Amino acid sequence: MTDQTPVLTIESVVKSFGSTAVLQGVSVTLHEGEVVALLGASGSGKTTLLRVAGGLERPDAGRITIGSSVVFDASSSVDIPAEGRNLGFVFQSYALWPHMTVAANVGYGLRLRGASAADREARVLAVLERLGLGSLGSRYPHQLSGGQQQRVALARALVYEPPIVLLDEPLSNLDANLREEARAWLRELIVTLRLSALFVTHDQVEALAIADRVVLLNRGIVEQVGPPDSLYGDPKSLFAATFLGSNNVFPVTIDPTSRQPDGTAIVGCGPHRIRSQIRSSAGNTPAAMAVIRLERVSVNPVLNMGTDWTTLELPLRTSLYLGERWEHVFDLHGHAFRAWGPRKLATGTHAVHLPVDGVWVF
Amino acid sequence: MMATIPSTLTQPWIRKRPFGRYAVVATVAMLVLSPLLLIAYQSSLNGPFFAESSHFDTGAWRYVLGARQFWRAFGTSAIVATGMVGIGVPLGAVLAFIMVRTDIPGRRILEPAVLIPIFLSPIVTAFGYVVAIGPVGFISLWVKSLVGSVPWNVYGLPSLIVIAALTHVPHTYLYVSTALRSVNPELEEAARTLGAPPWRVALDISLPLVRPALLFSASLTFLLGFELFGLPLVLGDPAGLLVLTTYLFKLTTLLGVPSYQMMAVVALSIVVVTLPLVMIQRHLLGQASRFATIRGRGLALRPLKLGPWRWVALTIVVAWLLLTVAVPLGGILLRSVVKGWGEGVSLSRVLTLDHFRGLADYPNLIRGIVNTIALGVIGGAISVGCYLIVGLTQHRWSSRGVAVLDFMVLIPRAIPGLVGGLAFLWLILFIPALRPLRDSMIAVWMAYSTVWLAYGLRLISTALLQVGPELEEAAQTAGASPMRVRWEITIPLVRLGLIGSWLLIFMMFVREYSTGVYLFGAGTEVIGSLIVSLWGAGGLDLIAALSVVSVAIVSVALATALRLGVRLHD
Repeated sequence: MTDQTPVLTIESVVKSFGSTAVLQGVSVTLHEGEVVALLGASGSGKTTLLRVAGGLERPDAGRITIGSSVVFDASSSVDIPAEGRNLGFVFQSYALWPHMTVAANVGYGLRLRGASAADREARVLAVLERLGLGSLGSRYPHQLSGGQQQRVALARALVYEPPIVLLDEPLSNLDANLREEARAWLRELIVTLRLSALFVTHDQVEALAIADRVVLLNRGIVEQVGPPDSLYGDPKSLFAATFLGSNNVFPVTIDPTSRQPDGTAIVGCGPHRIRSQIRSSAGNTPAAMAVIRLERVSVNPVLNMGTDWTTLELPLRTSLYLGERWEHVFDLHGHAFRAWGPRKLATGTHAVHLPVDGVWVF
Repeated sequence: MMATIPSTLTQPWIRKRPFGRYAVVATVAMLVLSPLLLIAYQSSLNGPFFAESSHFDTGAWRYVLGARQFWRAFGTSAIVATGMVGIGVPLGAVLAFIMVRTDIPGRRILEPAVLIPIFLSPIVTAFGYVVAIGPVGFISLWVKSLVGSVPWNVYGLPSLIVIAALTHVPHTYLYVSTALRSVNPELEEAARTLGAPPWRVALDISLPLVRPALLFSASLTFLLGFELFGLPLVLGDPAGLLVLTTYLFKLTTLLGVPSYQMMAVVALSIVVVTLPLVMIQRHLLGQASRFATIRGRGLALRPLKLGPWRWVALTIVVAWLLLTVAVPLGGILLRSVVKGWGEGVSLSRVLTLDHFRGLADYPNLIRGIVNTIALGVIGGAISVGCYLIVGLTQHRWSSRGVAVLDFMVLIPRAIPGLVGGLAFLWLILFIPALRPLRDSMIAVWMAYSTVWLAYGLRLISTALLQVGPELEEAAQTAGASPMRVRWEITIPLVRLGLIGSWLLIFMMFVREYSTGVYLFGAGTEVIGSLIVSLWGAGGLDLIAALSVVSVAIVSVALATALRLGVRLHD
């Protein structure tokens, strides 16, 4: 469904603020009609990367190409300023001008492009209608709700049909319940308008839900890039594995003699033995970390799932009621080991099943 | 074993009516309104209010409103104020834009320097201009030796307008730069991502966003134009040019006899102009809050790169500083160390410290210096204490009392120091119980504190607003009474703000001159009022020495304030 023509190419971008290296050689490509999420914790450099792409920060090194034209190249000192890049940029604070009406805010980009008043009015109205703001053109931003302001900011960035839209934490200023609705709405809008969009978020659910591809950033370096399901289901590093989802993470010792050709091995955590997948560079040293997502753990399986080091007998510490499910906390050799279950458990020891392909050792 | 904690709080939990707060509101209202009402009352009599023969009469109004000189002074005040707005506001806005939004070199040194004129006494500044660029001023004579004549005249309307405008630029600068700083950089960046070049960003976004600050600065500058006293007294009077305040000051001389009712009419006619201006400013401030925007993450905006033009920007700022600070201050400093000055005089032969030694020969001058410092240090501290009480009264109080208080503290802003001082003098004469205060520093202090009430209260409430409400609520929920919350939580938290306010009030009290003009007598001299009276007697040597002392005192306070990191504005 996405074309393979790149519309935005960021190559080996480096950026420091003083002595802090924020981006340490980051490369990202956005293809036509594709939605890419820049996901990372605060301080990962995701917002700086977006601002670099938009021309609001000047990188120290690297190259940025929009469509077929180079907008920044440190080696040939090309640096097209923000106003010359013809992008749509949606700010986290929305940055709506309080002294202008909604229509004036949205129409400003058209005014800069010399559109006639009639043309401007028609296009502003069209985009406002499309975003469900049809009757609000004459209002001022402060008279709108947070959700409406967010749509106006989007309308302002879309009205002159830029080839790329950059969005900085587009949903973070919305209330939690509104955010879930807006997530689906935004994805639908981007797909139906066939936009090419790069957006920044610290919210993994938002990234996985909206994006075609996710770029996971960690301290100014791209940790992993891929479609949401492969990022979630096939993490390449301990960071990627633990950044996404709800996880049990515990230290283990790999038994080198147990390694199989299929990449599995037996690892130990205190008296417990667990068969698991050895991933990436792990295995060169016996000490490693094991990760298992909570939804892969099952408690008191109905069927005997085999005793091939996949089931542990663990004492229950406590149980928490989460509404749609229970969270049980077991004791795994002094570590809290969590699992989800449909009902309350009796105190005492329970059988906990860990599938081989669910336990990743890094 | 642990000691038992009393299960009930020592204080009974009864919500009391805030009588203390109402008492503060009433006191402030009395202090602010009684001088104004007394002036209004006096203006409608045919003689002094304390004379038994005086009765109601509109004669004073008819006389003053029919006097050509009054209207000429009124017109001059209006022209001066308009000129100050026309020159000072655009210049202040340009300075603010250059300092806040561009990569001008040397910003860190220039930033505090731009505010210096605010802390200089206008009478000192005016005198500085006279000795620097007056008919026989240092610069005038130097220019004359180069080109054969002096191409300007420091006395008269044009120079009064220009000098008043230049010295009032910092007021516009303060408000516009604060407003520019609070503009979310994302608002400007949004325009840039949409395709706007920097100059369009400034024109379409930045300037319209600070429009309330520009309007506010214009009305404030206009108000200050009507309240000018020191500059027109020194620069206008010798050319026969009177503005409303100097007209009031000269009224007794002009009429030949002291005429209370005439003075009251003139004083009231100034307030008639200034009070609506203060109300307009209040409205503008309210409007400004509508422009508050969601703040981003406080990312610093890439300052506008001016390239070679930044040297032009630097030249504008430095030229203004030279004209407004260096010329008058240099003039005073030089004048204070020379015996006399004229064509062909060589500097090395007239250098002397006699003027400073001369101060010691006049007990009233030494007393004036001591009084000024005492008024600033002790009086300033007590004033800050009083402002704090008023500030705490308003603090987290939602009641109609706050609106009344808000309104009351605005009124002194509309009363020029000269009028305020006059009103307090009359008040002391009017109320028998206050008569012992006559010729005491307490009277001077009361007048100063009232005239500077609005300024001081703004300093205090700025500090109080920094205290997070939950810090106070935490103490309250732990069982502290409102009084204890203030004493043990709020006041300790604003400690630094109070010290800063004290320093700023100190500077304002040292710089103040017109409020003391009517109140000073033997024993209650202050530097400012001494200079005013010496100016009338032509004691240039002593004026120069006194001015240097005044500038030195303010400089020490300013340096301390900068050292302590006191914010010079809110």
